[in-house]
Amino acid sequence: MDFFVDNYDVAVIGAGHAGIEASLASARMGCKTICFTINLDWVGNMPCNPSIGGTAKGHLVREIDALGGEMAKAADRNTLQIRMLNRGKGAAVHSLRAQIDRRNYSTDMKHVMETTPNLSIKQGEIVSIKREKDGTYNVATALGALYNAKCVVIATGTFLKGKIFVGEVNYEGGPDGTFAATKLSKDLKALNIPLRRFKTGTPARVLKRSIDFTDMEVQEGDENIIPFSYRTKEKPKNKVVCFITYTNAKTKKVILENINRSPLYSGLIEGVGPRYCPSIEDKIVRFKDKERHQLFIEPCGENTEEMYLQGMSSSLPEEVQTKFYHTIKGLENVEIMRTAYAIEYDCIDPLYLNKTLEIKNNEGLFGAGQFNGSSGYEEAAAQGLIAGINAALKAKGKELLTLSREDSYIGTLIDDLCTKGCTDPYRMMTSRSEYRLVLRQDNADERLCDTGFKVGLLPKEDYEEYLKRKEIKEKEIERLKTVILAPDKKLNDLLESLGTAPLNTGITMHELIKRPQLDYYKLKDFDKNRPELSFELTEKINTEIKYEGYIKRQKAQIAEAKRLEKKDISFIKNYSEIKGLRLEAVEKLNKINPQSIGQASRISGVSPADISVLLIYLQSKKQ
Amino acid sequence: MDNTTIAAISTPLGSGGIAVIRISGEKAIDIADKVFKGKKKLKELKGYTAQFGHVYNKDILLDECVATVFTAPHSFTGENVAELSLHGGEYVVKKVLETLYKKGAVPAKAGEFSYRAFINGKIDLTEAESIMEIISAKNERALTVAERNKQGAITKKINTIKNDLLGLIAKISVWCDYPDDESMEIDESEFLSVCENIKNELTRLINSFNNGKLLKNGINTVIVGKPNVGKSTLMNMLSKEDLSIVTSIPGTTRDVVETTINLNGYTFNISDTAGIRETENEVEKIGVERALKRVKNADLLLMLFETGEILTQEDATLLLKYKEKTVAVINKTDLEKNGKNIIEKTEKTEEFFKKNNVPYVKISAKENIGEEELISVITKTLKLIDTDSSEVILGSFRQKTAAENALNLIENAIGAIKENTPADAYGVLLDEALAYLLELTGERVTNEVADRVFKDFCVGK
Repeated sequence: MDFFVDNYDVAVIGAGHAGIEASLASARMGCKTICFTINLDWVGNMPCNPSIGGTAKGHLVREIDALGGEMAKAADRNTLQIRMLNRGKGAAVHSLRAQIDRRNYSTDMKHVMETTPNLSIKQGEIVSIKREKDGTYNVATALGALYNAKCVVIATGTFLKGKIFVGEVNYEGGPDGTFAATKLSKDLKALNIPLRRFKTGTPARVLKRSIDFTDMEVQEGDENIIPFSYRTKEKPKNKVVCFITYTNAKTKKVILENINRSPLYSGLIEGVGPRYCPSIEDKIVRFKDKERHQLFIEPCGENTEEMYLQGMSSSLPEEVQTKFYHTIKGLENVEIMRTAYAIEYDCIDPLYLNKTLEIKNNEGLFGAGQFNGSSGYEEAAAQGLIAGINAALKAKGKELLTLSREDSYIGTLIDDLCTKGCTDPYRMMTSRSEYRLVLRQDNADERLCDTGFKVGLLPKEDYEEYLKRKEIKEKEIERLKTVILAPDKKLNDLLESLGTAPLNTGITMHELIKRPQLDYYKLKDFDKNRPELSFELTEKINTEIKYEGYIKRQKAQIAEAKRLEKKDISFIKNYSEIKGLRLEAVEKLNKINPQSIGQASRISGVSPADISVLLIYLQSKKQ
Repeated sequence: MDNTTIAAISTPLGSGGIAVIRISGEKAIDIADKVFKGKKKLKELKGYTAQFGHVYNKDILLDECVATVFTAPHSFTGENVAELSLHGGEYVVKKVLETLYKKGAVPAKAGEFSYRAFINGKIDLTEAESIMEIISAKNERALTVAERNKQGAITKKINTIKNDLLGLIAKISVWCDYPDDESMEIDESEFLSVCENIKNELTRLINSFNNGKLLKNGINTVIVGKPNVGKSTLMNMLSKEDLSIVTSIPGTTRDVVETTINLNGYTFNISDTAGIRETENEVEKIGVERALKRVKNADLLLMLFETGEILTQEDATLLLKYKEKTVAVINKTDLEKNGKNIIEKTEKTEEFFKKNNVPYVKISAKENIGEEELISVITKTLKLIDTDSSEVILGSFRQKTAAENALNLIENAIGAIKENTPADAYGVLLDEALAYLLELTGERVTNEVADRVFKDFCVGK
């Protein structure tokens, strides 16, 4: 029978990447916190890629770090290989990506949680959640243990009514051989939370010695390493390499011959899969003309021979998988250790969330991660962090935190989810942001450390270090404006050899760096008093000088956008009372209840004419 | 929005055979029923139907009337609308309006009908702007262009530019998001050629604004020439009326005489000036000063010479100073028959025109010869767009400004691409250019836009 255990400020359901950040944030902000997981051996598991970061995702990780989250530090502690992606392209799209030792990462994260004051972690499936008269929540485990919490964060990932699909075979289950959380959905529905089905999938893990690497392209880590965390003192090292190979016509043939055996195509799976992370059969069907698809072979850890086949997720039957993997160069004799599978799960339509990640009409109840309709560890952790911070603020009776599109990718992610909603698992991409030149991975600290410190999550010493770092950078940029270079033969020879005009008169170092052919590093020999700075800082300085004009322009765009973001319409309770709005707009506005004109303008189904009507309505209210 | 019912006259007051009073709002038809008496109550009519009857003030018969009924949302404003077509007398119209106001309608504010149409989603911003142009169109061609814009020609044109731009922006997005895929690299030459193309299209649109202005406001034309070369006769030839006093005594035309004529779809506001020449006569001095001022502000300068006349230094100076807007006219070709000497002198003058690329025509205003050629040369000189072609013409200053801002950004982007700037940087310029194009078509709304558009409306439309 049920028995009562204890009262908490915050309870977190799930200890994946969202649950971890939520629990740590809440506990570190001084709230008595408990985190539940179905299996304590899988805290912070990576059931898909053994990697963290990537384009835009890397930005999220750095932002999590700037706010005082854990993911970046944990990634640095367990890095196998790290690369700055897009290094050959512009600074705005530089993005970190690291291969991670997944077992070590999990053990490490569990230990961090275990050693964090105010935080309890508990193995158990949450089977019920009920709202009490006083507004708190009671959650119960499958064993009948009752816990009360002022706020609850739901971070159930793919566990909620999880169902595994491999070809014609399917069964209830969570990722990586865990069991699913089958009962909680019922109580969520009773709280009027509408649930829907999404799906995602993962490729096979294969035995390293069964691969022939001879003809594969090798992908090395960076020489000059920038870690994920601003707070990491000991830089991670590259310990492994990855490999690249390609599918071919034979692979395509095997897949197309067996396509009817995929549960996606036979109609067994009802959930919607991620558009930007498609399975190999999806890619072959959708991009018929493409002759080959790239695939990356990545090690799963230092103490394992399991290799991950990135780009090859599938829900075809095991025998078909074996057959098409064997068509690929170097994988002719590959031995599958874990079969690829698809997983379908319950999640919420994020339009039912506020930008604080609190669920509408359910005060004190927050959602994070895949439960909110996103995909990816980083997206999950980012939301977990915000949900955790807000659950803690709520428990303390303080004003909640909302990040904006103008200050972060996290803000963009949440605004997209809550405003535009998603029809497939949402993946962060740089193109989701209209401000990528200002929201760079190198300046995440300048954008968010103040906020992290203010909410009480970023420790004081880390904050002070950030302030120091910022001062050094600013000083160096100012110094460069005072260094004047006179026309001199050596310098002009260099300029001409780099294809840029020689000097006729003096010019500041700052101005000269701006030339497309030059940068901070190339002019080093002509700058006698240059201080010794970290690679990370010199990169930032170089970027800020070279992109100065463009950054200024984008900042002006942000200022303009903010004017519409500041036009408050949250007071409008019933849009059907405003004459002139089209019916569809009324429905959407009533459902989403936007905070501002800016947010309203991003709602699909709200046209510019509707926005004009709102603007005119606001104007007439003023008069 | 308020729930008032508005009424106003929607045809020009005072003139015309018929005056139409438009009533719009929830109670429009009820209120109309209070002044209109026909076979049936207007309330009982279906939308889109008309009925003959009479309008009354209390029991006093005011006028015969055809009433047309439109029911919401199938009307211009999207509200209930009644239109009363009366005989155009000013007194009658005023009386009917007064009665309507007494019965519960309120006078429509400037642009309020269009404003309501916009609010109710019947028209978009560019259409609203076009309606404004239709209202103020001075001639048929301007009306055609405005009509065309109302039907979304500008939006269509901008959409093709916008799609090209979006294509580039999408390529940059892919380039950012797929770091290890070599097939996603950016082809700079393709970017350059698309941008150059966008630049040309925008330039043409912006130039069209000037044309649109000429269409809308008319072409201010000044005729100058020595006394008695036939300025007044030329004007009369073009206008086909006797406007100026035509005599053979030099200096007769002391003041600027204006007339408006429509030629080839354009309106020409023509001024005949006092002859520009040295004079001691005080009255004429004032005339000369005025003439020079007019010349400066004119859109078109017609410099008139007599066959056999030799150019003076002053003529040459004036011609060269205003070369871009000047057409030289050699009048009185009928005098050529008077001798070889005259022809030779004329040839010298023509040589000067040719050498300096001054467009010119030879006419005989008195005998009505050369009018067509003159018009064709004017069209060429002012680069007047054939309004019958499908060329899109930007109609408002707001649209022109947005197009100019977009053009400026595209030009910057071209420069940046040529300098090998990374795509994420010049992408900012392309994004902003796109934002201006969206503003132009009304797909991106800012406070200012909505305000400006509706401020300019006049009552009744």
